[in-house]
Amino acid sequence: MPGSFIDPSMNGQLQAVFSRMERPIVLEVQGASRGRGHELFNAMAELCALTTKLSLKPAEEGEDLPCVRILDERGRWTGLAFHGIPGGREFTSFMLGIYNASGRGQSVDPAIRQRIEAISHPVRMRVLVSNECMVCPELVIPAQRIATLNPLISCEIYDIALFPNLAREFGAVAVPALKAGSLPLKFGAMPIESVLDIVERA
Amino acid sequence: MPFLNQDVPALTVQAYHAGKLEQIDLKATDGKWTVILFYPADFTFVCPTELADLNSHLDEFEKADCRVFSASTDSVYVHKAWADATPTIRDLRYPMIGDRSMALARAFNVLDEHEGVAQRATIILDPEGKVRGFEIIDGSVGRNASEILRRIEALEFVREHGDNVCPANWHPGAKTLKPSLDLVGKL
Repeated sequence: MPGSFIDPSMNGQLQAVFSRMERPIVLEVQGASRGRGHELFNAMAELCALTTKLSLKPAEEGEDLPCVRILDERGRWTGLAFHGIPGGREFTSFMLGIYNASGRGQSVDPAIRQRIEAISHPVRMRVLVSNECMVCPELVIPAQRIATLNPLISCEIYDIALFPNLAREFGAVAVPALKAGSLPLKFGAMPIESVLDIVERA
Repeated sequence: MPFLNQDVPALTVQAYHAGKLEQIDLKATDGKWTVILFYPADFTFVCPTELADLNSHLDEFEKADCRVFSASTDSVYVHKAWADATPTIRDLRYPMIGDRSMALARAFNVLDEHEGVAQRATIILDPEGKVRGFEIIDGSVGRNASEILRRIEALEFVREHGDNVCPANWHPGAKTLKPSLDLVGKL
């Protein structure tokens, strides 16, 4: 369909993700009926139509709308959310978030996994991105991976095109930028070890 | 020619600073950023305005670890006379370089050889003494210290983070980008 969100040429890669998903995922679209939320809802509906492992749940209420939250099959939040519409380069990060939340996901060094699982305090990560940013996935993907391995940790992605006030509030002069708890903003792509160092201090 | 990334010329210059004369070794950056604000001549109208503007932002430049100099081809003694005659200039808290030999203006290629005065040029040097910013604007247009400060802060940010970030140049309400997908080697 012309103007649709997902290009048919991506179907092969998407089916590779769906085939590796061990459990179904629910995409909860908050603010689905108004403004850009409607656009987000349609985009996610298109994605869900490609597989039985994804289902869609519209919601009206939520913080920082529009937002799509990744829920498990029982409707519990996995800790991952995207505020905005995960287009551009962030679509790859978004699909990996779904993949990681649905089962074993991407491999993680056992020592790193042990450190992540040992974190015993809640940590809210907010990552500011731009959908056209080439390096943003290199922060988003490891941050999301950490959040999927510990239920006390969440990772919310914000497209600053839709949330410029948040970018100003945090003083984000570049992307990607990571706000972990109340720690000062950290900028730039980083490996999972570096993100974990920050999360442990948050 | 002061191409970007070129080293600052090895020059020691004389400056008038708060009633005293000083020797300034431009290469001795002490790990700080440097701004040199060239202007055509003392006792002119636009110059005191922008020199005062720079002075009013001096604390912010210091906070950004940046030293500030003004420079003209007047001698330090003319600077002193200007300061004695003009309260705005007397209050300046940064050194005013007296480039009487024109060596500094010539080294940065900002000298108007015909008039024997510096053009209205702004030079930014990084803490290693390399040129990171170079701009000349028409003689009747004053510069904005806030904009120079913004550039210093941006340059410092880039110096710290390299190509690990993208400038946050976003447009509220911009149309959604079509998704792209690259999962090769990631599953």
